[in-house]
Amino acid sequence: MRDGFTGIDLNGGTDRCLRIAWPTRARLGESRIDQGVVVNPTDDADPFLVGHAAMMSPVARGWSWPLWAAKAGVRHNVADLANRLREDEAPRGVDDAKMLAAHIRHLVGAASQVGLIVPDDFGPGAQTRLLDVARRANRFDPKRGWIGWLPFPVWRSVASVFSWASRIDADKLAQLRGRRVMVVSMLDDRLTVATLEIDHERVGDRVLITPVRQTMGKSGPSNYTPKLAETELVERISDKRVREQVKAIAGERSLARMGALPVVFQRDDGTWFENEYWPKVNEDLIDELRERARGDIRFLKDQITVGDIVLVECPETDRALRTTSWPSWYANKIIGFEGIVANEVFKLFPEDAAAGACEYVARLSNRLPTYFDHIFEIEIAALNEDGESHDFIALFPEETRVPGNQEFKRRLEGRFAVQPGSQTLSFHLWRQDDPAHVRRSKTDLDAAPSDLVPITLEVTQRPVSGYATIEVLPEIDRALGGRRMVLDWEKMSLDTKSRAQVIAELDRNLPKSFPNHSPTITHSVAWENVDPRTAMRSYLSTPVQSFSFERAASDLRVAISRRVSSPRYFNVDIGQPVYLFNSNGDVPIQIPGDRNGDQGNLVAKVRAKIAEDMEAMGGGRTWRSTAGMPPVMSDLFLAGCWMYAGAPETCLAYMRDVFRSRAEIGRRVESVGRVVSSDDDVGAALKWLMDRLRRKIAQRTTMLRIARELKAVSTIIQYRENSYRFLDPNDAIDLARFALMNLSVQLDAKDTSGRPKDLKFSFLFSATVFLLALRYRKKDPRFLEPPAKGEKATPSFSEALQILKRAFDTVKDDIRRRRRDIHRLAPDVISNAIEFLQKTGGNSDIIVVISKAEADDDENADED
Amino acid sequence: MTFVRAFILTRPWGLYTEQRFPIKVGDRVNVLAAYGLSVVGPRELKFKFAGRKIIPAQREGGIFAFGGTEKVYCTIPAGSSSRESTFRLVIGRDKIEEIIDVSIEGAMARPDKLGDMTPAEHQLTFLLSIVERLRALSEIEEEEETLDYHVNGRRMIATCIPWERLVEQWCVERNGDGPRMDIIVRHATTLQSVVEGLASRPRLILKRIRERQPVSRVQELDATCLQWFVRQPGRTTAEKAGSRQTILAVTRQGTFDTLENRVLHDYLDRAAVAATAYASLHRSLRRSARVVSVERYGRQCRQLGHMLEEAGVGLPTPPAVPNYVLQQDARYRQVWKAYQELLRRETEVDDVWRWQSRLWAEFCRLSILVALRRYAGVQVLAEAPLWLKADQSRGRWANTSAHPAVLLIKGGDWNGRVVITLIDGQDENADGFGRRELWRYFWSVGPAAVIHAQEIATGREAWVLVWALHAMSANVIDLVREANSADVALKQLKGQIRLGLGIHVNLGGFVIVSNPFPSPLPLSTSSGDVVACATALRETSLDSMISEIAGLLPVIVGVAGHA
Repeated sequence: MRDGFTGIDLNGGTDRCLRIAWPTRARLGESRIDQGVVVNPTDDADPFLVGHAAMMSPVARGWSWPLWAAKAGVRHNVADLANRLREDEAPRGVDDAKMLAAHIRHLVGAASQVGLIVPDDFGPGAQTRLLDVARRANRFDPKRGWIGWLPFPVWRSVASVFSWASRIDADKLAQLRGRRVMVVSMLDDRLTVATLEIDHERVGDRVLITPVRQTMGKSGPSNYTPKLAETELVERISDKRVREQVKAIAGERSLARMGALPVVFQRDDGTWFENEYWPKVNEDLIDELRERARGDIRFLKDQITVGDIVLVECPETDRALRTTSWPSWYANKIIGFEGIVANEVFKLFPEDAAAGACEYVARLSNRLPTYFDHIFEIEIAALNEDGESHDFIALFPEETRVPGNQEFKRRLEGRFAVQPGSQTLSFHLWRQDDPAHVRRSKTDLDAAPSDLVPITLEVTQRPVSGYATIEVLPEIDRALGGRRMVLDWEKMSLDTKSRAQVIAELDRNLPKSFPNHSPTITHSVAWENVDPRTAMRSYLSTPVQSFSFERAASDLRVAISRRVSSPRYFNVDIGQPVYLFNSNGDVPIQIPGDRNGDQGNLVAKVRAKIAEDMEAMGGGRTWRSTAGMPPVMSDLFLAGCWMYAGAPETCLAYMRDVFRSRAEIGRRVESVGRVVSSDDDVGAALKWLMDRLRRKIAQRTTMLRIARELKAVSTIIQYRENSYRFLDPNDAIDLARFALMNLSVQLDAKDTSGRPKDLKFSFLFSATVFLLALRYRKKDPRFLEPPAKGEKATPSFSEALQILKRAFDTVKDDIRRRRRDIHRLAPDVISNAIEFLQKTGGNSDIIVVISKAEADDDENADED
Repeated sequence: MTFVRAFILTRPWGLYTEQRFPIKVGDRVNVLAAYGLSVVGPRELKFKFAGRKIIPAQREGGIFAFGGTEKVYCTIPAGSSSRESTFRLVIGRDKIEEIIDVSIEGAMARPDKLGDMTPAEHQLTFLLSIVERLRALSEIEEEEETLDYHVNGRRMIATCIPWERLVEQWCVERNGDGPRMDIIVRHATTLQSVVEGLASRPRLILKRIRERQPVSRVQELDATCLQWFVRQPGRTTAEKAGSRQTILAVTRQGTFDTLENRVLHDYLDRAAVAATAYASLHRSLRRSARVVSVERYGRQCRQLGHMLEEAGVGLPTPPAVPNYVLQQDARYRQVWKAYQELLRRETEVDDVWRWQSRLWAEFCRLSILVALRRYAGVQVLAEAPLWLKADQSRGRWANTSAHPAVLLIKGGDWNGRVVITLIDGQDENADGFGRRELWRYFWSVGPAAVIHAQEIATGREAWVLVWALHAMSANVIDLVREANSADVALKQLKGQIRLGLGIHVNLGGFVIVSNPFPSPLPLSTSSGDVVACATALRETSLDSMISEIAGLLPVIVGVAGHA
């Protein structure tokens, strides 16, 4: 096996194959091709000419003699071939890849593992093409036949940073952690910049730089200044024959370099002559170059930010403007940028990139860390956890980098699921490197799954090539049919819609299973217009033994329970009632115009005093007694309950005694819905309420009198978004059944004169409870599930639909015939309940509408 | 009948001197062996050498005008055995062929084996050393060294030799490090145990033969046996079996005489001969490990060959076509491959001898290039790649263009800056440089190479015709006579050009003669516009020859600073 590690720098300007020992970095060998040329012979049977043979070949030199040489082949600059790889749209003949492969084969020599420099502005397509070319460049050994070699692609910037870091002390390197490095590469026909972040790892006594490549490199503006200098100079050669012959051998660069100029040319009659008049860089050209260079400098200014460490590298040694090499010229300009420290701008050696590629292979061979590639985050459009809307969800948000050139392969288990009944699976993917586009893929399933099928996503990404696939694996074998589902990023079709449009469309098509929940909200407008602070201060100033305490407590209850039904009336753009406290027990942060201090403090004092007063009145002993809670204590309890989740602890203690059947609650049952907030309390409350409802249903036959309990349940589900989780299937079924029973009873109720009884809030609440009960579908999608096409509906679904349809028909008929007074929202609420039940649509904000109506109408309070 | 002005030449320029022999049908042509034979005739004629083999003559260069007709110049291959000192020249036009008997007096025949160092053996050794030298160019010694190859599928066609490598290695002493690598050395290293294993236990097959057997022992009958049986007189088997009670039946007998064993036998014989030749060639180094192992291998092969002969294994009938065993059995496959290599090598040596004048011409062309590139002030303007073929083609191993190099030489022995173009005179595309009309004259004298020189300052042009004369006889050469003869021809040629084209061409001649006898220093002389030098055929060093050529070139071109 050969000693050392090999790296090749293929840039078309000065191509290098370097072999170094590592870690000593002693140079073991170098082959170099300046201004590489490949000659493609006209006769296809002949091999390509590469390297020095191509440079020196008489083919296509623009000479009259030898005759054959003029048409025996075509010269191609390696730089042009390499650059055509970069452009996705550029027409490429098969020969391009073959010629470049022949050139690389010549360059690589006998190496078996080679670090291959990849320009930073190469996109995934270009990288793939370059690797494909490298794989074609197998070498031939007369004794062993064709022998392959392994290319290890490494970014030019990374390789340059490796070389640069090798000249820096370990301590200094440690200090530079987290700093941004901008690598400016001056290639044959363009300028590229790439940004890296310095990181390092300590391996034994060595500190190795492990840069992180954040984004793809960028190429500078077209019309690269050094190139312009060369092409302009050659155009100024007055003798046409000389000009053409200079151009033909790609020798135009020599005119703008420090190297030797071509010497002998041929006249049309075949005789040789020397050219004596060479154009020089005069003032006109200097001005033109300065003007053009401004574009490059502007570009660099845009890319280089304050505090950057800047590395300027160029693989060529003799490219210069007069006596100043272009890299020095650019480095001097960069030093002049604002915020750039002069000693943090480094001009690298021409062979640094190739040496860095060698080090890359050496590190890989020694299993040492190399560099990291930023991995483009993939997001998938999926239903949110709430099941109500879609969003683009990042698959692995915590994974931002992957070891350089390595495949990223991870499984994401249990995060996503396929809904039962899905006939097709549509995937919308978005990737960070193409922020403007979403890609989609649609797969027809062999059979629709009958249950929810959790899926595992196996994600494979290769940062260098841009390759990404996601394999969809059902956790239940063959639950999605027998076909393998693999989403290949490259093969997925581009969606014409933006991310927002895709989400909107998905949301639009989401089947409506239940309306939104609607917690109580607060706003300073409530505190300004139904100011409770007078009553609160009055209460605070009244001792519990005082005669006026009863009034103070009653006033407090009334004051604290008030709300503003239409904030818009007060020029506040809120379409629902606002309360003094929100469901979480919070008050508005600040109330303008309040001169009496912080209301938060006031509320805390009130809360504390309620708790103290209730304790002073006997607390648990009192409410557990047969006499139950006295009215004044009841007032304090109700006042505390209007603080919702912020209710005094004593109120909660009372509630918990009620749930444990140690105390009676009576008509105060409605308050349960406002107060409970913790998971334990919500679970206990729902259990207690469902038991109470079942008992009531079991006891009564004609008048159910369950409106308050239903209202309490609906309040809990309405305020606490996830409270449906505490219902078991029986609870959910019973709750919907009781709601519909109550609705039917109300519909059929007659007053004393035998006329149909008016349908007010009790009726409305029955429908509301039914709507809120549908939230249980988030836990169990089969809850009251509409039948699939051609299938028979479940009995519970049929019964519910029948009751609701009858209610709707009756309500409509009664309104038309004016048989009774019906709440204006009743038809709307019933029709929404029907639509949500059937998952055909419905107003998702219907609960808000009902809340508003409830706030507008105080009469519901005592109705039962 | 006389063919329209067709001649046999003993010197390339012979068309313009007395060294041309008109060809007449029915007449025998007797020539003294000199520097190879060539034939000049009208372009529509096809010439073939008919000795042990029938080999078409090799056309050199393009068509030229001489005596009012368009003619071609062809090289006739040398006879590879003493019997071929008299051969037939087949001359064909359309479908009519005439035969001329040609007898060469004093021609060296190819020696059957090397060892006695006769002039012929010395000549063959030298030729093989040229081949070896050419082959060495494509051999990679250091692991990191690589070359470009022209490959078709898995078959290597040619190796691209960088010119620098040619210049560097052309004069390298080859035998300094010991006896050279050879096919037989490789075989001795790798095949010793294989041939021993195979020859001591050769593959045995059971052969079916029909013979009369006692009825009681008959086990198998085939259709032929049954046919024989029914034709026998008698009604019962006992009657048909006759008095001896035997009938024709199939029996099986073990035999070693199979194709694969015959090939093995032949290989062993040939390997023994090759090993002996190698040992004789390196007699002075016979204590080296390589020679010792080859000698041991030779003895082993000879011994094993006898064993096979005793086992009744014959020799294969050429051409041997490999059977399944030779292709698929791992050990026999190795033998088959080795056998092919030996056969190919023998053919190659045969071809080297037949086309030695062309090989010498190629050697001279490459040497001139090396000499030109050795000047301190040389600058290469263009060079066509040098492809070294895996297999020779009629004495030529190097495949390059008709115009392999354009060089700018300045300073030193050269007066001013001169652009030199070397042209392969034997290539029919040579006329792609300079006026085409000139080539219709140049080709009539069969130059191996042509040098075109132009002084940059004055624009003065010069053409030098290079003749590579390869001695075919053991007689001492007369260099002065050859130079005078060439000069006479050159003067006539100049006159022809002046007459035909009305221009004066600054024309010179350079004759490089191979000297079959070792000589420490090359000899040189000049006559008029011709410079001639004789180079001793020394297999170890070419330095003196290259230096001589390098020294003469400025003089020949006429731009020597001190001339």
